[in-house]
Amino acid sequence: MPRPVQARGRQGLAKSAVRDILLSLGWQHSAIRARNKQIVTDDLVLLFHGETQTANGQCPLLVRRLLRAKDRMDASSHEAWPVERLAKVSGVSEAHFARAFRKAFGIPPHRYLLTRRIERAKALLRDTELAITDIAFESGWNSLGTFGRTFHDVTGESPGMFRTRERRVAQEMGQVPPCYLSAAHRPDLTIAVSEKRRRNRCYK
Amino acid sequence: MSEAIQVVGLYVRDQDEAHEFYVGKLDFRVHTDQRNGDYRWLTVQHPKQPSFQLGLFRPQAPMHDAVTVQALNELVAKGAMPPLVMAVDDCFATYARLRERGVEFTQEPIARYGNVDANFRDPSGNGWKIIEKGA
Repeated sequence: MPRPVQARGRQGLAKSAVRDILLSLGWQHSAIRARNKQIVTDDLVLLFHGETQTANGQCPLLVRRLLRAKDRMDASSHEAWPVERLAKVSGVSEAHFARAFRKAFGIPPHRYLLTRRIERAKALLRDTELAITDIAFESGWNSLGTFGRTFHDVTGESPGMFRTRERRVAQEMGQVPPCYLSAAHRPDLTIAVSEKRRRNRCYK
Repeated sequence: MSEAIQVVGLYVRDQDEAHEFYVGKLDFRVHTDQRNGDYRWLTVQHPKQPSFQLGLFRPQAPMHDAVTVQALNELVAKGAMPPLVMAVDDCFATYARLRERGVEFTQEPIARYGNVDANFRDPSGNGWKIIEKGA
């Protein structure tokens, strides 16, 4: 990875030239505008990295940006996260985003979001008295039907069944911070939900 | 107390940047900052915890080869390092103060299970949780 020192010497580049190069690398106009006043060292390092990919992996500075998009999905998994919104958070192009995210985190962004929604739904089912319809909307689904079907496809049981079963289990985990407990309930979605559904059908 | 945990280290991508963050923004104090050529042993302390040092280390040669350095830097940037937890007296106040200083919060304070907690990351990607007990 090139050291930031090397990049600093290049900061004298005319702003317009930097912008052209960033655009050619797939940056969005808005992301460039936001940083136009101060093209930071990070950006220059990324810039001179070309494809932002090293011989044996991804540029850590790019990964750090992608993590920002993941963090935002974590914080607000109930919100809609189309690729353009995520790409903007990371300051990379839409075309580049999904592939780079998947390479960094081993899962496509929309499926990652799904795991967080299921995790949240599980927490709400277990810890609150909210009606299942409310939980569906609270965790980001637009309809109860889609929520129920997806929940079943992912976890193998309906939201109601999950709630009943969980409540029978005594919670003796008070010493572990709640978010880590909750993370243990996040589904490990290594395959697409449609594929999971298809396979489940085959066995029935 | 003669037997205790003395140093636990974090990997950071840039030690100057980490120093600026942990000392300049989180109000930690430098315990040791020793250089030997390209190598730098940098540890900081929580102002109220003088017996413990947090090491801010860069994955580097000669401990690691270039491929391992790259892998470690990527892992840190992915936020894949283990959770870090800090106790605070007033989560909302700490959140407001740190946010004002430009700390990147990934979760606003939430009151739950009798505590208040919030999350932030250091510039490298290490994730911290601050918890106010029994709020």
